Amino acid sequence: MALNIMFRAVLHRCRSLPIAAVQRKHYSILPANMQPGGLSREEEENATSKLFTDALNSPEIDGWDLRGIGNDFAGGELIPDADICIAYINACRRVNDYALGVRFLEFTRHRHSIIDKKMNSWKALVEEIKPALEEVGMDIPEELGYDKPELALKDVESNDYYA
Amino acid sequence: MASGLLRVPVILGRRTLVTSVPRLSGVTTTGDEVPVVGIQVPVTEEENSKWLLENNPPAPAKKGRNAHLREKLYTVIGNRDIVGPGVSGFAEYIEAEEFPFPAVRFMEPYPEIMPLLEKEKGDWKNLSIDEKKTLYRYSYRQTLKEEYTPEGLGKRLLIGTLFGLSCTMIYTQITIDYIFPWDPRAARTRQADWQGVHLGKLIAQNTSYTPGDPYWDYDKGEWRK
Repeated sequence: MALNIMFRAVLHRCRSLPIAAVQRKHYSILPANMQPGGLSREEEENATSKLFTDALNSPEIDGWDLRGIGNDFAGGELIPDADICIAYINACRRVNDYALGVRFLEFTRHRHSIIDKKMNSWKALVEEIKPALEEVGMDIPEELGYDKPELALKDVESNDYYA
Repeated sequence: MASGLLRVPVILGRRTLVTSVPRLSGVTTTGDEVPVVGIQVPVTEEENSKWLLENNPPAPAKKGRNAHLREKLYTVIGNRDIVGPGVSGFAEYIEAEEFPFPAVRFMEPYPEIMPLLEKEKGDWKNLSIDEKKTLYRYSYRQTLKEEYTPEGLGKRLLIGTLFGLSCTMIYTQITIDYIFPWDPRAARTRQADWQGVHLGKLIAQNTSYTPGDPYWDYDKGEWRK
């Protein structure tokens, strides 16, 4: 019948029994994706991006940390958001390294080209980022001509015997 | 006694050091006095910890995080800047799909690029496209697109195989057309009486696996109609 009434009856009866109550704590020290008890869907989607944006927006960040974070993105097979791209470019501006931002944008372009061959997601991301790019003065790879290969250099690690 | 090498294991805290100490002949030592040649090795834990701190100073957290390693790594990377952790913490220039940000810049600082690096600290809108490209090539050897383009080795393989196949096919057809007619033993086989005898031999072998031979009837001894 009414399940909530049935459960309430059971609880009232169990009150008298010596059952240890399980207390659910909220570990606020840990970030969202390490909290016990699981996450809601919104928290899952926003957890990683919030961590990265908070790290990238800190004023003490170094070129060392930026490249470490970029390598984490690459190794973890993550695709950067618009928020993360904007934070990364602003951090590059603080560190005075132009090539690093271009490399990051090339990397995001490559990842988007894997998931979407027609590059619709990449174009949408570029439109979201455009105000930040104009503010800082950075170019996307298409404007520099790096969406196509420019130089044809020999691969150092290939096992090509006859080249 | 003859001079030989003495191996003395020295335990220093968490580390064990094996030192080879040459013993001179004719020299008498009392107890712990051992003549050490070369580096002065610390023996107590305090001395060892001091020696370790001197030789491995902690990296400063701010700019120039690894400036103290530039001298040590000059033979490995030269005058280049150490810029990131890279692959497992080694100072190497590696381009890979999982590590697009290498630990070291590609080029050493040369005089023509020093004013460009100063300009980079200012507004990036003042940079022209050629200057931006030179800054990129200063830090990186190849763009990601150049890195991921295949070299075309599969095409070269296909070309090689097809070339070989075509050569053999041409050779066989030329031999069939122009060289076999000159062979007298083979010319005998093109004559009708020889071919008739050979066909009789083949039929006598009785090697047809089909239960009903479509051409020669073995029960009646004649060709089928």
